[in-house]
Amino acid sequence: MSLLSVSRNPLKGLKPVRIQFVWNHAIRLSSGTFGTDNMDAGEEFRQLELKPTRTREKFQRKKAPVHMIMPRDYKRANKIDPDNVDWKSIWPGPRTFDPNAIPIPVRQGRLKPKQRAFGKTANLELMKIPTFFHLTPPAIKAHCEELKKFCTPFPSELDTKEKCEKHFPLTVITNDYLHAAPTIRDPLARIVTIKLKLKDIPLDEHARDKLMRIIKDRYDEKTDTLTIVTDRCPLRKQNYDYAQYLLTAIFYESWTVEEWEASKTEADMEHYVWNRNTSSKALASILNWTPDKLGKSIFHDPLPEDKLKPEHHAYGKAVKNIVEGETEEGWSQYKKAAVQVLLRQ
Amino acid sequence: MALRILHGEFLSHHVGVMHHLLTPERLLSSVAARPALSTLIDGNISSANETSPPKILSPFRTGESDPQNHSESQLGRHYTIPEDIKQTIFKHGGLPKKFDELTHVFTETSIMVRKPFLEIKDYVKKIDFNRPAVRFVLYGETGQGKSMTLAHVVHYGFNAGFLLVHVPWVNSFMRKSKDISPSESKPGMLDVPINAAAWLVHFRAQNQHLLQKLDFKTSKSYQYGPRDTIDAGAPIEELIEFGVGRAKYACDVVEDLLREVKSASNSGLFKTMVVIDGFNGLFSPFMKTLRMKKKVIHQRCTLALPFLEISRFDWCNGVVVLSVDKHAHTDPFNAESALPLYLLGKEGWEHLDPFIPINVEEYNTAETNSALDYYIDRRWIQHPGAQSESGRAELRAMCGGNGLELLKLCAPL
Repeated sequence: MSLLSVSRNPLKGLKPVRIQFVWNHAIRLSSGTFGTDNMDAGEEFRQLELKPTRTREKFQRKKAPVHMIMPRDYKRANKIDPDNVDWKSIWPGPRTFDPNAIPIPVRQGRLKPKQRAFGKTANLELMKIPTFFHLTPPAIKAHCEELKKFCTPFPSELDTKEKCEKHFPLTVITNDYLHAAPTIRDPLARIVTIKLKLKDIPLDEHARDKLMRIIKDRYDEKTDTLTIVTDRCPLRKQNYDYAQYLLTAIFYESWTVEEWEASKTEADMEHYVWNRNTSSKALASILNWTPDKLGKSIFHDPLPEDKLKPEHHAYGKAVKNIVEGETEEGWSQYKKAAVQVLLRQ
Repeated sequence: MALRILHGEFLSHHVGVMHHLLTPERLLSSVAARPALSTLIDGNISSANETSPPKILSPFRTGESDPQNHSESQLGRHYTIPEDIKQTIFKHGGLPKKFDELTHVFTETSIMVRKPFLEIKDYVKKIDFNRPAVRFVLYGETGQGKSMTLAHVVHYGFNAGFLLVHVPWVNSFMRKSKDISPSESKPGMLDVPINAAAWLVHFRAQNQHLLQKLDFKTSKSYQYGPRDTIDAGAPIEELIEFGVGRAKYACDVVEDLLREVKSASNSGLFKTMVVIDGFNGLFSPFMKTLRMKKKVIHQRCTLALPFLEISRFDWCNGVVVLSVDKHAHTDPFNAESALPLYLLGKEGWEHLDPFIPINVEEYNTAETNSALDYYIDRRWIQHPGAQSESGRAELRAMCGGNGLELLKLCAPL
């Protein structure tokens, strides 16, 4: 069967291209000129295309007609008179930008060279950013007028800032949040911050040092303020009580002197105290020196306060300067002081 | 003959400026003050006229070769250390290596008289020698002249009759010791026997003249080995000789010797000047040997102890002049500051305080000019461009007042 079909139609499996090729070839052979006449005429040499490529026609997509759906009241802005309007009734609360409610020309957008920024209508850039059209000065004024009936007058005796600080040294800061939401609770409302200036609580040198170690970075040196923030309890009342407890605890703790505090060494000192250091002992040893002390332990106790002369104080000050950060000036000062102490004048 | 040549050159060279230069203070006081010149002339050396200084002193020189007489008027001028004194005090070190090489090229050892030295000299005059030893600490950036000032001080001490205890460079034994061995007398510590013996040789060379004159004897007997004993009352040279001969015990000998020095000065037998360069090296935590090619982490080297001991203030009739150096720091290439407290560290500061700090500053313009004049005179600068005013200005600006930097800049010129 298959043999039969082959004999009947021998060109059945070939593609038309193949036929064309064979046909062309046959014509060339029969004409005997083999394409020379065509080449001489300046025609392009035709290429053999085994897989003919489709010629691409440029087709132009037709522009779809724009059907801009305008809002019903899109001409509202034209009707608003900016001078005589109750603005807070038009824009009562925070809201996305609405071009139809804004009676002024607004433009926003990235400018290309020699091109105007986009207008307010359908301008996505304007809709992205928050606006404060609801917080105009008259609106705020009206809000305050409404809230006034809930307030009490500020005590007239506290007319200066100093008096306020003197009578109310402790500042308690809390935040209230109001939302138009199903719940009126806000977790941030529980946080309590208390602030206190350290000059308002009695502290001696030791207590102050210990307090500093306890409160660490909660102390601001510039304003002399201690700040405690409590937020670990779920309710504000609890956090407030906890802050009060903390303040009380650190105050009494800083006044307590433990037994082990006597073993505080020089490395634990927060600042250099000359009269406690080897420098002052060395000076005392030099001043009390006699030739028979050769090779013996030379470091005595520091000089008692009443025996220190002005030049010794100057020397101590220079040493303190050096130890707390050496500079060229510090060294020249130290040199002057050392010459005063060590050499015959 | 040579004298005539010298004279002829003097005439031809200076005849135009003679009136200007022939002022009394510029004239060399006498030939005796310059023994090198007289020997050269007597020795009939034909090159003498090239190398010996001219008779009329240039403004960058001073004829005063005794540091005891140096004063403000000699500031910025070079004085020449007589050759015999140089051989006595700097034979075994004491001059910076770069400068020591140049002394051979220049055929003289000239040091500029600078303010730090004059300061120390004035302070030493004010010292009450019945009071504890006063410590001076030189500090300043590398190459600004700490070691040169110390060399000047050593010469001053030598001329003023001090017994010299001079350590040319601490890290020669703290960092790069020749040899190390565990100490027998101090368990857990390390000896540097060869360096200790070398230091004893240095000490002996510097103080030979004094030791011969003085009645300096050991105060007690010392027992080093089973057969190595130094009796009480033996001359101190015997102790030194023993240390040099038996390097094994040299570290112990240095310690005993310095203890003797301390007690002898305390009793007023002589005055002692201690000069230690790179003192902060004594507080560096490790020592490294060349031979073993590895670092030995160790708290103390036994040779460091006597020098620490003698730099304390518990004795009198003594002056201690030290220098702190970035190069002697534990981490010499990363030393952040050249100020004493940083370099000494807490331990070193507590050891030394109170002391008198002396800042060795960079050259001022006059000093740079003087150094340039000196180099031109010594033919260290031969390039005509460098001798012109603009070339000098460029060199002044490039070295930034740093003497070592100037030396390096001038080397190829």
